[in-house]
Amino acid sequence: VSDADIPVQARHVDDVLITHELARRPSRAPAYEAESRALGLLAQEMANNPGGVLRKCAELVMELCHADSAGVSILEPGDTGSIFRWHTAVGAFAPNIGGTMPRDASPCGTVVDRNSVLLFNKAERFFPDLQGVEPRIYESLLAPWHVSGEAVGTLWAIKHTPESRFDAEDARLLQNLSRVASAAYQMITALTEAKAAGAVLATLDLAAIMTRNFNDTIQFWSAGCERLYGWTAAEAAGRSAHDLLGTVFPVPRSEVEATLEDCGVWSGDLRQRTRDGREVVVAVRKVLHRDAEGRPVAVLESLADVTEARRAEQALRASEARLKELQAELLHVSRLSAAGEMASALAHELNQPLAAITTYIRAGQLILTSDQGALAPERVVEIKRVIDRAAQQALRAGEIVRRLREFVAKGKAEKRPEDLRKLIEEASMLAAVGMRKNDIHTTFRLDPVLPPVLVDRVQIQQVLVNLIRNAVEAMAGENADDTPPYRELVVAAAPCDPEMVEISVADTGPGLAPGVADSLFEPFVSTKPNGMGVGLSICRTIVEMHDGRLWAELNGEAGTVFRFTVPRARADVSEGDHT
Amino acid sequence: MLHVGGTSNTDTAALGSAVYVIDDEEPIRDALAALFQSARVRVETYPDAISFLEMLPRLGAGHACVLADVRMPGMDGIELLHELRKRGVSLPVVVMTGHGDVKTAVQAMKAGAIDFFEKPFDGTTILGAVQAALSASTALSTVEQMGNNHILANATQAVEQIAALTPRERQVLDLLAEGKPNKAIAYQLGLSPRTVEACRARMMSRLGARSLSEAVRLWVWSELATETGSSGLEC
Repeated sequence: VSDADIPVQARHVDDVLITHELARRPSRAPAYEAESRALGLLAQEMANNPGGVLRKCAELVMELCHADSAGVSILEPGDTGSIFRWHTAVGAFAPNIGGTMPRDASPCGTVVDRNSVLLFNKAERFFPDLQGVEPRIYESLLAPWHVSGEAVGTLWAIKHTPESRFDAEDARLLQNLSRVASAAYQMITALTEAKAAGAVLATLDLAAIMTRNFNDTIQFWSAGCERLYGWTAAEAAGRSAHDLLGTVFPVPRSEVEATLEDCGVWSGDLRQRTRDGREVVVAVRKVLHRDAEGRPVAVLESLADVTEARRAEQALRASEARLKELQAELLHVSRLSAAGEMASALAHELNQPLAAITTYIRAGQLILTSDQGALAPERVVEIKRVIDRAAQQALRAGEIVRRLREFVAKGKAEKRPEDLRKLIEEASMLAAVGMRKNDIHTTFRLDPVLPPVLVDRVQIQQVLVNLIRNAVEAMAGENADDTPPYRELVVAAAPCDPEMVEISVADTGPGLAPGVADSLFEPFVSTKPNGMGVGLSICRTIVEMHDGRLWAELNGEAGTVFRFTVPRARADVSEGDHT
Repeated sequence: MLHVGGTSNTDTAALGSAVYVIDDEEPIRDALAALFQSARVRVETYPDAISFLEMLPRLGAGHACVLADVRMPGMDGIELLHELRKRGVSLPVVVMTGHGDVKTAVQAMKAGAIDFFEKPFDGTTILGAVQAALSASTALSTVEQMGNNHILANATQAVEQIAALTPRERQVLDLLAEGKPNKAIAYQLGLSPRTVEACRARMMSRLGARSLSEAVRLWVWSELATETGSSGLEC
């Protein structure tokens, strides 16, 4: 473009404004019919395709005003101040859609500032950003675009040839179209926003929300409430929330109301009843609404069904408590078992004073029987001495017995009917404490109809803990040669005859050496440098105290299986029979 | 190397013979000393095997025997038996074991002990055994012979007595001698513990044994006789 008629840059915007010329230019007659048809088309577009209203508007401008291009520019915030974006453009200018100009360096800015229709002639002379814009703009007619009574954009028409002129009728049509179109656009925008808001509201409705007035009468009842409680909104409306749901508060209701009054919010867990009579635990957050004078008018409650969550939490707490209890019992039984070993050690120790006592007494007897007649004084002294020594040794023996008794003071078996499945599960849990079960598959093969067993739970669990830990240790061989290809621990239980139930713990470890198998259940026989300190001998003692048997077998080709039996609980033995 | 069985000019004859008591328990040493003194048997006590071995070269010659505890800190009774044999000392050794420690008793017998007693023992029994050993030894030229004869005499009788047991009683005795408690035996034989107890009682009365250790002693002698024949003891 090398037009010689492009003058030097204008110093003032008025130098490029020729609006006043419109009055002097010859103007055609008002095209009311065309205008009315155009507005009708616009209304139709609004109804059929609201998103296309701006484009339709621009097309109508181009047609009615005989323009080469037409479009809408909308003010929007930019990085360095407000900008106008060519939001819509039709005709020759269409390729420029999306382009922007700074608000204050754009003809649109002038139009918005003056809030009136303006006609520019070669606006690029004052607005440098327009220089080089293709196609070249000769005359441009712009009308302000209002939203909520505020000018936030322009509707424009352009002539791209030097000889073309806009007239007063073009200006009138443009202004009218702008008013109607911007109003339509505003409505469409509002409608879209309303729809979005409606969607948000619909989402909110999925949550359990209710509002009630201060008389406890339900006003709003969301779809979430319908799902939670089973009552429909129609059924709930107007009812007393408290009565409808049989609410049980964690604290006195008056306290809840007082907190709500004082703080405006209260949250906590409620126990409530659903329409079908199910009890639910509901976490509620109540918010107090006040009117302009600060009087409480309504309470908004957001509710969440936490029945399962609370149940799970409670179960978790209970199982944690149970585990602690079991560990305490295990500790006690460990003491007991240690007492068993200590008993053996003390029995050996006891033999020392007993051997000394009998020997002293025999010595005394010998002296008395060997000396016929009167005893020599030194023999009497010796007799006194050995009797004294024997007495000392008897006291020493008594001391040993006392120590042992103290140690096993709590060691009485209490047999009760027990759920074997639960007993086994707990024992496995205990056995797992602090155990490294490297790559060991643990399988439970528990008969689905395990009868209750009559046992001292702690003692039988101790046996199981020992057998399981032994099995795991047996499979923990680190020597590559000793490592079995597959490590499986199988705990099984099933009735074996009308009287007894058999429990087994099988491993795939290296199995028992022939020599060890024979002495397996003897006290002081161990293949482990440091076990639990509870020998198989004590396991066997415990099982025998239950009239059961404990034995070991080969587990197929590799590994060991320990089996033991415990008696079934007879139906007439109930838990209450024990003191 | 001093052989205790050699000639001597010491005054042991006045006391007849001596018994050397080795036990780490002071009350046991003291009680046994009182017992042997009241029976006019010369007695010397040692708190451990090492101090006895240190004194061994200076001990007076004459008929003597050793009464040693098996479970002692440092050198135990079994090790002492091996050490004596290594040094060529053939003093007869009677061992004292813990209650139910049948395995150790068998081990000690095989290592050359001529007899064993379980603690707690009756002083009279142990005195009788020691006196019998000492008086028997006076009739023999060497302690070694004495030891062998002592065993052989007992063994012949033991073999006969044990042969009189029923197969079941014999099984029970075998397992008892291995140190197994009644219940373990019951499981191994597939019997009830009650049956094993009854069988054990019959076996004891047939052997004329008043205690398990007496029964086991017979069993050990019988075993030794079977293992060694009449050629003497081998370790």
